Order: sequence, then C-alpha cells, then structure tokens
Amino acid sequence: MFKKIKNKNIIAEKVKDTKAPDNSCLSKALEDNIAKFKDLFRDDDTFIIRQFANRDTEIKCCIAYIADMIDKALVNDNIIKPMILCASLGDKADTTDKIMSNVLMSNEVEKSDSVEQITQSIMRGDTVLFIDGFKEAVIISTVGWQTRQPSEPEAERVLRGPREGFTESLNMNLTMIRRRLSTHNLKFKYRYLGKESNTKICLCYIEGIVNRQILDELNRRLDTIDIDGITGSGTIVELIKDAPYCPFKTIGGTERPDVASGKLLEGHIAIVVDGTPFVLTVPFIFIEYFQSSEDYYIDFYYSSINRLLRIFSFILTISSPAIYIAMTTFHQEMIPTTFIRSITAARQGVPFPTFIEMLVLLLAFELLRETGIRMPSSVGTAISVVGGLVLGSAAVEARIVSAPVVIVVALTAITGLTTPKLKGPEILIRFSLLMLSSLLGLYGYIFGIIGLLILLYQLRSFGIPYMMALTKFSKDNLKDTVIRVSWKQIKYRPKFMAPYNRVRNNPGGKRQ
Amino acid sequence: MKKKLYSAKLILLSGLILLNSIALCGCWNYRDIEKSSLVSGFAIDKNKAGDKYMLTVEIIDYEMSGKEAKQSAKYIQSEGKTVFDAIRNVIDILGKRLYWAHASIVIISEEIAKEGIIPAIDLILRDAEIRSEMYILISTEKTAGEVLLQDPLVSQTSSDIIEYMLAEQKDVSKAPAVEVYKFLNDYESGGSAIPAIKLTEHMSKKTAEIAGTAIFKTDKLIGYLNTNESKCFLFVRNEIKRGLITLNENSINDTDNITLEIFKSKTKLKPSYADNKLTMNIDILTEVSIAEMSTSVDYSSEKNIGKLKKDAEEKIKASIEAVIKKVQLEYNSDIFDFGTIVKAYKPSVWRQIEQDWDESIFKGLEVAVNVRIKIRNCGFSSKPLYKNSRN
Repeated sequence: MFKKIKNKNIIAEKVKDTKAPDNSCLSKALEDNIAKFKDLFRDDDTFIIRQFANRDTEIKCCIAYIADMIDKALVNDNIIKPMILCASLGDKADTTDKIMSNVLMSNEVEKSDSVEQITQSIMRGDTVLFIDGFKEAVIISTVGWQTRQPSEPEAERVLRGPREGFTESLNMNLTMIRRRLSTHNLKFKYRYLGKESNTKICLCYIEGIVNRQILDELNRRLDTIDIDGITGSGTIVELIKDAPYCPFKTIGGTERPDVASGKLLEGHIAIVVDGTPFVLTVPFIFIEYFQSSEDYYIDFYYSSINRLLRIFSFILTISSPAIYIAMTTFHQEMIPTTFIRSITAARQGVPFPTFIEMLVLLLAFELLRETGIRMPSSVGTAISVVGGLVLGSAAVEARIVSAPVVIVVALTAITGLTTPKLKGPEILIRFSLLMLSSLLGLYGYIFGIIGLLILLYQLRSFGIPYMMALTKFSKDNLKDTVIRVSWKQIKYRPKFMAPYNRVRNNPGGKRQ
Repeated sequence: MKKKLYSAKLILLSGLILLNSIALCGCWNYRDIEKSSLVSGFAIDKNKAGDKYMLTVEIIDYEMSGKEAKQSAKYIQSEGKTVFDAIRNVIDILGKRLYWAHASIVIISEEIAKEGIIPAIDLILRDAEIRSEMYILISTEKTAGEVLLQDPLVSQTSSDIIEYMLAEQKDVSKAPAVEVYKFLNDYESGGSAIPAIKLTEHMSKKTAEIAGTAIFKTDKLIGYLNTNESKCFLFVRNEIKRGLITLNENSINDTDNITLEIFKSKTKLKPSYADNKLTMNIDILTEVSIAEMSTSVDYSSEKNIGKLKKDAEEKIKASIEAVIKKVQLEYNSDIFDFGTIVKAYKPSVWRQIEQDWDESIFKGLEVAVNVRIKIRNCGFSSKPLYKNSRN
C-alpha cells in the first residue's frame, strides 16, 4: 500500500515538473521572451509573433496572438499603429504603465509578468505586447472571432415570446441576461474548469434574492470537479448532480435568455458555460419539467390547461402500455364486456403474446424516433412514411400485431412528445412499468408507481425538495405548479429558493 | 461498510416485497385474452336422468374472414355432478378454458328451481371469477337451455338480448331485474322473486320473452305472477322507475283508452301497531302524464282531470290489493319484504311475532294501500283530438 502511494507521489511530482515551466516569469530581454513563447507554442502554426519597432526610438516591441481569434483591424489601428508612430516613447523612464495609459487605444488592458497568465490570455483571443527592456507584458483584449448570430432555439419554440436564443459565445450570452435584468444586484462570477480545456464558466445570480446556501453548495461542488476538459454543459451536470445515477435531472438547462432571467428572479442560479448555448439553472425541481416559458406569455387559463395536459400526458405515456398489458392479460374482468370482445377479435391470429407485441412495437417506435432525430428533413419524411405504413397498417393487416396495441403505442408516443425534456426518464419508467405489470399485473404497476413516487419524493436538488409544492394540496402550492394563476395572484417567490426575500409582486403597493 | 449494509438491507427488503406480492395477490398469472373463450351467459338444467347438472354455455367465437375477425355466438353443453364439475368438463369438449367474468345472465330451469335453487347458484357467489352481479332468470319452458338457444330477431348474442331485456325493464316495469347477490339477500329474509322467461313465436322465430315474476319461498319455486301483477309487485317494492298504466275510462266502449306514462314513483312502507293489530301502510306517490288517449273527454278541465286521477288511483289500489292478497293466501311468501320493514320500524313487535311470521302472521297481515297520483301534463296537445263526442 505504501509503495502505491509512493509511486503515485512520484508520478504526481513528475507531472508537476513537466507542467510548471522552470521560469514562470518573463525576462527583461525581448529575445528571451520570444524564444520562450515560441518554445511553448512550438508546432503550433496558428501562433503568430509580429515584431516591430518605434519609428523614433527604435525600441523593439512584439505582439503575440493566435491567428483569427483577434480582431485584425483593432490590432493594427489601436496597438501597432500607435506603438510605431508614438513620438514620445524613448525615455528610459517610460514604463509599461505609461504605454498602457498614453499609447494603447484599447478599452481593456492589463499588465502581467506571469507566463501562465499570458499563455491563457493568448489562447482566449487576447493580444500580448512585449516591449524590449521591460519585465512585464501588456495583455490587450482584442477578441474578435466569428460567432453565430442569436437565433430561435429549435428545441424550445414558443408562439408568443422572444425569438432570441443563447449562442456559443459566453459574453454574448451574458449580455442577453444583463439586458433583461438591469440591476447592479445581478452578479456574474467567472470560474475556469477543466485542466486542459480551461473552459470559462460564469455563475449568475441576483444578490438579495438568491439563497446563499445553494450558492455555497454549488461552489463547493464545482470545486470538486477535476477533469481534463468540459466540452459542454452536460459534462458539468453529470459531475455535480445530486443523485448521479437517477434518471431525473436535478439541474435544469435552457437555451432561452428569457427563461434564464425568469429563473434568476425566482432565486435560481444560472451557470453559463463558454462554447455552449445551453445555460444551466440550479436548483431544478420536478414541476419545472412541465413549465414552458410560453406559459407566462399567454392567457393563464390556457396555460393552466396546457400544464394539466402535460402532466396528464406524462402519466399516460409512462402507464398506458403497462395498464393495457395488466388489463388484457391479468384482469380481463375489469374491461367492459363489449370492449374485451373487440380486443379479443383483434387478437385473433396474432402469433405473439401481448407483452412481446407491445415490447416490439415500443422498441420500433423508439428506433424510429432515434433515427428521425438526426436525419435531414428530406429523409425524415421517408422514415415517417416507412414507419407509418410498415409498422402501422401493414403489420396490423398481416396480423403480426393487433390494432389495439398499435393504438396504445401511438398514444404513448404522442403523449411522450408533449414533455420532450422528460424523454429519457420516460422511456426508462415506461419499460420498467411494462415489465412489472407483465409479471404481476396491476399489482406490479402500482408497485412500480409507488417506487417512482418514493424516488421522486426523496430526491433533492441542492437541498431543495424535488417535489417542492407538490407535497400537499393547498392554494399556495397550486399557484404556479400544476396550473398557473394570474400574475396578480403570484405574490411570493418559492419559499426554499429565496427564503429571505420572498415578496415578488405587491399589487397596489400594500405593506406586507 | 455502513453503505454496503444499507444496500444489502435494501435488496433484501425489496426482494421480500416482491415475493410477498407474488404470493399474496389474487390473479397473478399472465394469460393472453384469446387463449380462453369469453362466456356471455349460461343456463343450468338437470339431465334426463335427473342426477347430473347439464350446462348450456354461450361463448363468443371468432371466425377469420379475410382480414377481419367476425364474432358470433356458439353453444356448448356439458354434464357434471356439480355445476363446477360441468364447467371444467367443457375443456374436454372445447379444448379451451372458459372465461366467466363477463357472463351476464344465468337461466335456471323450473325443475331445479322447484327442488331448490341454492345448490345450482352457490358457485356463482363463491367463485372469484364468476360475478355475482349477473342477472338470474327462471325458465318457464321445459329446460333452461332452450331459452338460451333461442332464435334471436337481431344479430346479437342471446345472452346480450336477455341482459338488455332486464336492464331496460325500467321503461316497462313488467318484471324485476334481479342480480344473483340480490336474490341471495332476499333469500336470507324469507321470500324472493326472480324474473321468469319463456319462449314465444315472433315472426316465425322462437324468441325469448319476459314472462312476469317467479316467486320463491326459501329457495323453492312456488308460483308465478304475470306481467301485470308484477307491476303491482314492483309498486310495493318501490322499484318502479317508468312504465305505463292503461285505463279504460267511461267504459262506454272498449276503445276509450287512456295511457298514463309514469315519470316518477315513490313508495313508502310503514307498519303501524294498534290494539294488538299490525297494519302495513303502503303510500304510493306516482307522477304521470297523459301519454295517449282515444276518448273525446276534455281533460283540461279541473273536474275531468280530477275524475281521471281518482279512477287511476282506484284502479292501481285495487290491483295492488289483489296481488298482495294473492301472494298472502296462495303463496304465503314475503316477497314484498314486509318482515324487514316491521323489524326496522317496530323491533319490539317483531321480536314477538318473528317466530310465527312465515307461518301465519304474514298471511293475515292487514294492508292499507294509499295511492296518490299526480298528473303532470297531457303532452303537447291539451284538447282531445276527437272532435265529435261519441257519447
């Protein structure tokens, strides 16, 4: 055992040796610095060093950047031009500070002598200016790569409401949130994650509303992340999730800035990750699966009906195959007489047991769904024709499957599409309930449902009960959960999310 | 370590629950629908020798015609020492298990009913699969099987037709619709009544038809009430929902008929006890409307409608009294459930007479019938259509 630890230590030391450069600071000589960075970026053809000198004093300078990550016009006009043309340079007493304050035409400059920091800045699209004879370099913000224009997110379409969606650019995403919440209480805290990728992430919250305990917990969990790279927000989700193996998510995600800012107002914390348009929100509770941003833009009667429909379809999509199996193979006495006669008529000549039939058709549907999702739309129609014709009518006509099973699977599929965020858990629950009810009938189904409820009610998201406001039937609990009441009635924020600042809406300015 | 113990506990616990659920639940076996035949109704007879039960079972059969499965009724007969034995013997003939949960009627032959009906229907109440809320009927034909094997006028199964006959009795009120469990409840209290069914010829087809009420004393059939008497019986039992009352007003000629349609009827039974004499007060309040009339009398006048009301009340009263008398004297079976009413209202009196109730008290029970009729309206036309009065 000791040997192992010792070995580990040796390996760790070795890693440290190669990682940390023996001289982590810059030197005074420009040539040395250039050589150092050329060595750091060896075999990297995108790394560019441009050397020049001041026209009057012949002071040698050089800028370093990564090709195409900078705004070329900006670098030419605001860095190279003033540095070459500036007449007052030359005094030996001139420091980097003077250049920063008098020469460079940039809004964001910083000086540094740390090789590590300079390397990071270069890789993020900044330009670094080295001046011969000075131990410090100037980091100038010149980020200017191409980004996608904000467009409407495909997965979260709304009929009424903003058409803007997050992009892959962290900064652009932050401005989208900021534009919606013009308060100095809105805080943005940067963090860097990933040993190799050094991904920039940003925690957003509104001070005074956010529950500090949740924020501390989130920071603690982010501290534990020790991974080589973060390629998307999904990686973070899995690393800091409350129940890592539970199919239900305890961290939300959205592509819509209006949703994110709405969540911030409720006391949630948003995590914006550079390079992905999916912004995470914590905590996430079960009812959020059924809430759509559109609910808040349309008539509350209509949105309440929609929410009830979504909840109803969730129940249907997980249970209808299981209940069909239980009723037709265990409890035939529960089906009305005329109905059981027509089911029996449909079953005549079908070679497989009902359970196998149901399983095969459900699998076929999942296959169709998975095939269609990443296909270009032209192929998509072909798939739907094949799926609809072959699986639907042809299979029924050939008496390979019975019509009621096709109807049940179709119902399952349609109702499953109403809650797209729940797709993953739904498939798992649907199949496990199906197995249970084919073993034990309705008894097994109820058994599964009880298990599901136990799972949901014991789950927490960052200390918040997952089934918050769904534990007991009361007026307050109903307000923005299974239905949405008028904004006039929504007066308080959720108790657990914003415990110290609950008043949200105070119509008429009444004292609370 | 602790965590390991916890998960071991969890596995054990869930295993225990799963095992229990298999062991404790009732119907646990997976069975595809088409593997058993649906029974829609059955009839119980004794065989010719009289030592075995003979079952006539109607099942739903499916015939593949092209892509469609066509459903039709098929019939099987099997014999057995007991009813259940006969049911199991069906497998020998059919090769399929029968599924009884959807059986809706059972027809018992007169022969069995006279000997005692309980041995034949015990299984229906006791078995988990056969429902005790199926309708029970008595066949007035030689066998019960031939009623089930009727030649229906419409393309429905025989059992369905008979089931609907009883379910729709509320529109005609000519026979009680009695489920097996209801019959057994009445049987506990002494007298009970079951609808009777016979075969008649309609359009040169032998079809089943409701034939009034069969009266039981304990579990033995002792006689019948015809359909008109059955209506009176239903009036007393407060089981009239709708139905018709036909009157022959003015009695000048036979065509002067008036039909009253019952909309609502309520019967209150209350015993009174005075001077050592028990009297059963029957208060009937019936709301009717004039549905049809072939007279020229104008019933929009206060006087005429009052007369009509009185006539109807008297007619109903007379026929109810006659039926009660008949049951008391001829059959002496408390099918009206008077005993239960006395027990509920006058428990002290009941304790004295309980012993003699079946023997003599019911027979000599004084009955005071009080009928009140409310005529709501006379339909869309207030005046008679006959212009020239024929009288």
